Amino acid sequence: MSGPQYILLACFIVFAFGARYRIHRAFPRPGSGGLAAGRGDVPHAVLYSFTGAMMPWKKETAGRHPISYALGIGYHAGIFLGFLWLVLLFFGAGLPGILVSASAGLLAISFLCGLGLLVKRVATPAMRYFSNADDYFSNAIVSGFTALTAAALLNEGAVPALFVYAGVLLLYIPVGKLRHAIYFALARVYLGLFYGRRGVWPGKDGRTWQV
Amino acid sequence: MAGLNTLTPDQRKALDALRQRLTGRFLTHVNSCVHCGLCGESCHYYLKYKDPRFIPGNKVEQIARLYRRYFTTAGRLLPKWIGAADLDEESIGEMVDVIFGGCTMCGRCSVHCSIGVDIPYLVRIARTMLVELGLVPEGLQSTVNAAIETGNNMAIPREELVDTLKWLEEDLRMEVEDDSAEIPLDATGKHVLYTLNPREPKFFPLSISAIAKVFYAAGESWTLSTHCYDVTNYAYFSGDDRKARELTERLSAEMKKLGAGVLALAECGHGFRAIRWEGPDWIQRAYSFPVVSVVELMADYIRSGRIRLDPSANEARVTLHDPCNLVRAGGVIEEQRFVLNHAVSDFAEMTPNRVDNFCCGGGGGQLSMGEFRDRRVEAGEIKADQIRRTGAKIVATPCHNCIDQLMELNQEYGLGVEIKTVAELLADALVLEKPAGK
Repeated sequence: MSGPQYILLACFIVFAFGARYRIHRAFPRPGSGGLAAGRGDVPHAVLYSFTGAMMPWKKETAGRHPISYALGIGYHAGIFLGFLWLVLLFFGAGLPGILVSASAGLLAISFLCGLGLLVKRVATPAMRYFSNADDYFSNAIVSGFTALTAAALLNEGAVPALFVYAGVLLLYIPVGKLRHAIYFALARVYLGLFYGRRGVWPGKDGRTWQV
Repeated sequence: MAGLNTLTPDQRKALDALRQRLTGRFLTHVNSCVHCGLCGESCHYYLKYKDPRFIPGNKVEQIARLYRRYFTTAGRLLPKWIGAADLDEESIGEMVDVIFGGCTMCGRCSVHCSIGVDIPYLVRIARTMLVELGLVPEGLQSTVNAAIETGNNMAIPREELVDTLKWLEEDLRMEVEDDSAEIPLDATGKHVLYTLNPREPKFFPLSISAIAKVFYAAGESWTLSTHCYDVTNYAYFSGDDRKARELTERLSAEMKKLGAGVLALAECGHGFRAIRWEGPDWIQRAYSFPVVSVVELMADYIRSGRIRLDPSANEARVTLHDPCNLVRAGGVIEEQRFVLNHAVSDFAEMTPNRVDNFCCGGGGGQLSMGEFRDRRVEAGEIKADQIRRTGAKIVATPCHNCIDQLMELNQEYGLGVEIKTVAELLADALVLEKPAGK
């Protein structure tokens, strides 16, 4: 292993222990849905929380803001793709050139999506009102990761820099808003538990929110 | 811990209250908001004012910034960087204004949150901190105090309640032409113990008459307690878990004393949520009896054929307002529709409705907080517009808090509608069998 690989591995271990600790503290315990007698289908509701409830025709924030929604989807898809490539590059896996080129293109799109969201945050007074330095920095560091991953796919010389950069990113995730990466799934589980026990989710199909 | 030396004893108590609530659920939700701000358009306050203070994400921020400051390493070392804030006069002042005066805890934002943050849950914990700081708005606090000290939130003396109920019983006998019809008081061993919103005996006795007529028609075995009957629990709104527990314990004890089989809650959104869903957590045990909304009972009477209805008795167009705590946070979604579809001949839904319905603006204890009255009525314009678009002449809603707000909106926005409970419409549509010998 090279020096940058050691750095990345060390950072990953620190991140993994930190993430495990946080997830352990936050994980729903038996009875955390409440002591009241339930009336709904909880497993179905939790599944719905991750699926139907996220759809733009159900989620008003997505349906009313299709551009932000698309930017968010593109951004996060690229982040996942970036981490997938990080693993492949770490283990030196070789893939066909067409896949490499296509991934670099997708990562570039993801970078642009991230940039778009950053511009939106800067340009929208309502968002600026309750944004802090970490909100801007978190976007920048993650957008940088997608850009650097794309560069590393096109130019092997950038791979060591990517390993170090990704290591720093992993260490930063638990510090600020990026910790939503750790908590997002749990938030959907808790919401599914809440609405599921009460028989609210899964609800009727079809769009109901539109005025 | 950052800045602890400068904290007052009350501020320390507020932080202790927060520390006691650092559960998995809290940690998950408080760490999940990404400040995307998209939730703003799900909130009637933000839609009305376009003021970023009212973006639900900013309401989360009121408590998240304190959590970061006092309970995270980054918040101790880099408070400005991650938006952590001290618990000081400035942050507390904004908290009171936004958390009490700019949120009804309706939960619409949570359903539509891009992450799934349970925003009203965090808002209520923020309110709990404000309880410790002694900063619950006076009107809301006095409502809670009245319930604790007198047994009902309007401080109605027992004699006055009994007089009202006896008068209503006479009225019922005349209406159904049956001298045996009754409103049973403090009877033991009945199937149903029914609760009231104290506003009913005080200002809206006809809603009691209506449900008494429904129970009569269904042949229900029921009773009212004259000692402990208040369905409301304003301590849910104020954030005071100790008082919420006390009120829940009293109702639970009354059920045991009277030996009733089912606790049936009057048409009250937050009362249903507080008693049905939150109560067992406050008293730290499950109830030994079922708790239902009276709307569920009414639907059951129709399904089982215990009552007969003539919807032509209600010919005017009726629309339905969904109380947030009964519907979005309570799961009673279709029953009121089922009842109305059998009791009225022209029913029109509002848009949006059910889980996506907008709050009327009267929730979260707003009706008792006079200092925020103008904001409450102005933010209610969205509901007024919803009602107007239906073309309805009658607005039904199974919640007395909502009724009060809707009556005010009706006047303020010139809607020209009548506001009724579901039971009132059902009672008007009842087809009564003549008692034997009549």
